[in-house]
Amino acid sequence: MATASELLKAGKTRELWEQYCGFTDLSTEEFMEIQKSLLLEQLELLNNCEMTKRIMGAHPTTIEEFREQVPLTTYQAYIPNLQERREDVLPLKPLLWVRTSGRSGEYPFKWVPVSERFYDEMGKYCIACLILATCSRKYDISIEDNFKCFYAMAPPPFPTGAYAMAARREFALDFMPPPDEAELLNFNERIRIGISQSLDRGMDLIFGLAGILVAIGDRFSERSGGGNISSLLRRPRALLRLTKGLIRSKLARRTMLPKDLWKIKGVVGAGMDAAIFRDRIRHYWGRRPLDGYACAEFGLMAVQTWDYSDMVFVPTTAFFEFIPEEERQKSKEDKSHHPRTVLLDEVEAGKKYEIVATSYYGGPFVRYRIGDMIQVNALRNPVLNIELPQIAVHSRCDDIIDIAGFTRLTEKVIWQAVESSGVGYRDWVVQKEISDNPILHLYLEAKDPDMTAEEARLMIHQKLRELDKDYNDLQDMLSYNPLKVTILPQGAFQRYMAQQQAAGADIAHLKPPHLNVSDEVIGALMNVHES
Amino acid sequence: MIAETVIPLFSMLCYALLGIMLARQFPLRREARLFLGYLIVIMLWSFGSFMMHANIPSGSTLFWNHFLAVWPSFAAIIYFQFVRVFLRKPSHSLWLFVGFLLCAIWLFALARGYIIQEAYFSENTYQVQFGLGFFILFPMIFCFVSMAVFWLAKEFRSTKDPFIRNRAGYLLIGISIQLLLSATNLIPWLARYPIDQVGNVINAFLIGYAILKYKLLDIDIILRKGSFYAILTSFVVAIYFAVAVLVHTLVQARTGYDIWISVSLTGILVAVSFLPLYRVTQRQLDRFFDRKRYDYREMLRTSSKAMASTIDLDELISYIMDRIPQTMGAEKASMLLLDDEGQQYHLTACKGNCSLSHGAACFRYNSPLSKYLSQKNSCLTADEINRMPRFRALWKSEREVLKRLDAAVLVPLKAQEALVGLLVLSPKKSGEAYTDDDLGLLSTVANQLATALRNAQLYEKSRQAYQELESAQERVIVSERLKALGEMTSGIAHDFNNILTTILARAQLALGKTENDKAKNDLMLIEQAALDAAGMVRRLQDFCRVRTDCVLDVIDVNQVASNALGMIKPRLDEGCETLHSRIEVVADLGKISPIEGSAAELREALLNILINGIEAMPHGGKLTVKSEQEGNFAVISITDTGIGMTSEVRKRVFEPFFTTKGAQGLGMGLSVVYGIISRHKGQVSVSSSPGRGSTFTIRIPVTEDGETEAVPVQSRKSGSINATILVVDDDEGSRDALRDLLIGYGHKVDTASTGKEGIILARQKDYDVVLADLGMPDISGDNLAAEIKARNHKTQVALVTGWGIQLDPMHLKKRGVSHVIAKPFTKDDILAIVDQLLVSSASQMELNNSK
Repeated sequence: MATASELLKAGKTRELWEQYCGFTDLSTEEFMEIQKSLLLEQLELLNNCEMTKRIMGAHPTTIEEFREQVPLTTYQAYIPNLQERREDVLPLKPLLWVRTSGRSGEYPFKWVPVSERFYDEMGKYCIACLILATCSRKYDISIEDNFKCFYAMAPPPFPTGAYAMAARREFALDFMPPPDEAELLNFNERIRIGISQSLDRGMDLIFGLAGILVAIGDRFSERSGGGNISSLLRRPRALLRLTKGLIRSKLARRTMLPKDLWKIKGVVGAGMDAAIFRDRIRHYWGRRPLDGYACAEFGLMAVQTWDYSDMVFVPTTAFFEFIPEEERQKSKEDKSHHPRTVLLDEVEAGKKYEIVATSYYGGPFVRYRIGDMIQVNALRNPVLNIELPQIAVHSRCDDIIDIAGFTRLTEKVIWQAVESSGVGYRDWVVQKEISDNPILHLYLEAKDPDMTAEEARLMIHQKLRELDKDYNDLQDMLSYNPLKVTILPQGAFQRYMAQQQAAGADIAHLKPPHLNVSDEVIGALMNVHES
Repeated sequence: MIAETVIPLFSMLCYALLGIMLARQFPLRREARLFLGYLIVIMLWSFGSFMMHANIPSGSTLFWNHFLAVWPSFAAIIYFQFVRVFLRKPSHSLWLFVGFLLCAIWLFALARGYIIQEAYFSENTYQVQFGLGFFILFPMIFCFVSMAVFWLAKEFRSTKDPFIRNRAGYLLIGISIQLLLSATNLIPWLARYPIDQVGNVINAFLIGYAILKYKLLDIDIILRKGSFYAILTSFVVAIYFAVAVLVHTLVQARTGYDIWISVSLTGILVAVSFLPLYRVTQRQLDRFFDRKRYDYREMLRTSSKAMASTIDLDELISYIMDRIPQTMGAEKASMLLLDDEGQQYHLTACKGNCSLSHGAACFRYNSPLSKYLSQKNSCLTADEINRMPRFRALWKSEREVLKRLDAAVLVPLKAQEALVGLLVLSPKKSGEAYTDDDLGLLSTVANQLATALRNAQLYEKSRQAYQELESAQERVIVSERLKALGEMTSGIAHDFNNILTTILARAQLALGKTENDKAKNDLMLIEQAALDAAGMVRRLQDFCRVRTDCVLDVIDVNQVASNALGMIKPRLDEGCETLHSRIEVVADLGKISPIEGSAAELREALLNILINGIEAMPHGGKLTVKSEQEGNFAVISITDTGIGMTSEVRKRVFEPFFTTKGAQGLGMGLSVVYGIISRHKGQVSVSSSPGRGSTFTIRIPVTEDGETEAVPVQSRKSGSINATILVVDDDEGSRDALRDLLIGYGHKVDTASTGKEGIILARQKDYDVVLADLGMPDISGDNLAAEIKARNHKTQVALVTGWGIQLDPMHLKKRGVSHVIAKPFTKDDILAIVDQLLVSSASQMELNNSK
């Protein structure tokens, strides 16, 4: 099979698009054919593996039997085999293992085996993300060999790092810093070195966590010149780039931003916050980030198309089922209830679903509840003529704050409200408190030390009303305003993270979660200035 | 002078045409934009050359010379950059900067007259005088193009992809020629001619060809049609000019109507010549652009003929597997056909080295490949399989198959909208890719082939069905004939047994009475003859399937076959020593379940067949005994490579007394086999043809378990006398003979000629033993036994029958029958049985008394 580099070299751009982004041309029916064919192949592997046979408790040979007989699972079902990284119990010997953060007190990491074929698939989808992030229309191929790529994601064995490496099988990417070097550095050093190298060599692409990209942008916008000129004198290219950037920023009458230094051709964002930070990333870097929906267990599951609106599922990383919201609710209330699932060709526009996935290519996960809710916004994209359901990630299943049974606020909505309210903030957490009435208590570290809680509350409350209809109704119909804001001391989050780091916490647990934080965390955030 | 003007003009038109073709692809990618820039610059260069050589307006030679001289430098730098982008070379803007700097210097030098000092026409000859700047700057610009040539050559040599090689190859040749011919400008006496423009034209043609054949820069093809109409128009214009000049020269002076004559003549000539001209042009263009088309037409013609005339499936496949890869120049070809169950496509034929075994399952019926090919009516290339997202659903095993078949093209074989198979071709030996024309041809052939295959498959199936039907019909006829023969033989045997009973019994009674030696001898001869006749009748009964006086047991067929093979060994050794004929015996005994039957009988049946087989191979050969289980049947086949038999012989081979051995054969061997196998509820059949040996196939139902009770006949143990015996038989001779025999040994005997009479007598008297005939007109022997037993259970009843002992032993036991005695019997047999019955009667009485 020709790689992306070879196709590009041969000038076969249409073929290149078709090979990597052709899944966007599939009809739902074709999508399901692929899904079912690969699941049947997987069933043969699952039925010959002791571990998965035990988990399935059945011997399904058809899709229907599989959906009827096999129970839904979570990561708990695969402990301790995956925790111990036992390759002998898996349906297929893995090529490598990736890990992501686990659950506090239960397991420190989630280890996930990655088969050779799955790794290849992920490499292809990384290229698809690159193409989609750099194109402006269908068949527009703007990627080039040896693109300078600023890499601001977690290194292997974290999935983002591992799969970015898979992309190098398909395409020559000049990562900054180089992956083998990056693995030895901590996150901050990698970002610093990456930016430094980009000053010399340029930057065409960004693979980055949205929050990091915003943080870098913030740093640029807050810095008003300065820097070590003598060191730059030894780096004429960097000096030239900075000079050009400075001129551009002066012409625009603002501080220098990353977009003044580099002409970025594409940004592939990761993280739940990518959608929230979209506008700020565009402001700082000059290009919107392409959003993807991924997890360690199944890699990339959905990706945004080139109109940067909704996402579409990719057909070959996992077999997808969807639990309708009402079924999920029923099973939550009655543990004995086995929720019904639907397939992609059965989803309805405007409805929310919990996603259930089954591995392909000898992966171990069977009818696995990832824990995410998606919303189907439309069944097709008429603008781009895409015939696949258009989805958006709605929330984590357990990241919902229910206010009086009237409105259910997700992390995403609250974040969007904080972000768009105009309140300058460093970070925030929220907790539901019950007194006479349920209270949505937001703890926020403001950039402006003079910002008062009431000012912030009014601004955020207004945005919440705009963003969430039910929240708005709460005010209109019940005259009830559940929002309470507490301004955290300056440096609260930074010190909290330092404490966590000192306590040996994993990278994923340095920051507190945004929603439903414990009283201990609130206490720690409130009291750090005193320590 | 005309040539110097026309060549640049033609060059300009060519580049304009190429430019239009490229611009139609808007929006353009970077390399396409650069290439368009290059085409425009060359077009301007050619335009300048044209204007200069046309000398329009007169005296502007130096101006146009300067104009044309502007563009080569830009062309060189743009081409240099185009090649860099085209080949994805790392971007170094320094060289580009240097290049354009050079262009700027060139322009400055040109403006200052350092490049061209003088340019003018002298006696219609173009004269040019270059300045020092030309000789300094031209080689420097030359270096840029040389660098591009070097990169293209390097790419051409390094890549294995034939597609890329060809794209780079034509560019390389084109620019090399252009470069070489442009270098003629350095030679003063050549510089006056537009040789560089000839290079431009050649380059344009090569680029056009690369676009046409290899989609250079993904440019669509309009060249072929454009060329067609351009050539036609040129011919028409040429005719007009030729006619006009001719007429003008010849007739103008005299008539003054030259224009009318010219037009009329041109019209006539065009009308006459247009159609042939049209066809010639079309053919020549086709030949130029599609050299292979003629080969393909030929292939299509011969294939169609072959497919229409061949109905044999193997022959058809063999023909196609030879012809298609040969025409396409493919290294390997494989044909996959759908199995009868419609589940999998299996490898049916292969040409070239194939790492898959014949018959291997390759693709599921519902695999993405077969689904796609079922829906479409076109070929599928390996590139498409790799590229199209739907094929990412292929299973790993299916990808492996594609790899092992070295698949470059998959051609669907569709008949009546169903995908009956696939033809898989490997890459071409030449390394070239399959063109659209190749694929078109393959699709056309495949459509015909699929129909032909379908017809051949249907023919094959109907032929098999017909053969099976014929065979079944033959079996039924043989079976019916044998059945009729059996029934007839059975009746004769019964009557014979009655007669023989009388003869034997009377002869034995007479033997006991006479003292005359001669009479004794005669009587003994009669007794022996009767016994021989009884043996013969028993064989007849064997054929009639009525003998069941053998022990039925659960037996291992393979064991029986091994025993039989062991028993023929001496016979084989003897043949080897005396006749020097060596017979190789092969035993291929598979695992089979046991059967219910008589090992001795089955062994006899196998021995008969084996001996027949040995006798059929007087000059040696091979005797194969094979056993296997097919469903619920044990199947034993015995194959010899002997003389075989005609269909006439084959049809009668199981008939009793039918023999091909003349006086040496009794003709009973295979009829006995038939009887034995039928008794085992099995079937025996034979397939044979003269000179090709014979195969006897025996099919006997297997059993799970089961044992059959044996009813052995015991020898006489005691000599009880004075027993009261009733003999019931409708055959007077048998009845009297039996009576006299028993009286002779001291028993009291009453006789009855009918069943009813027997019952009346049995009611009047308690008999120790009743000997009754089985088949009597009024009441059967077993019913008589039941009646007597009901009245007096102590009475022992034995049946005497000439039909043999074909009744179910369990049934007889239920009816109260203690023994069955086959006619004819000897004196000793009958006395032994009577003694045994008396012992049983005594035991019964003791049992009753003890109770």
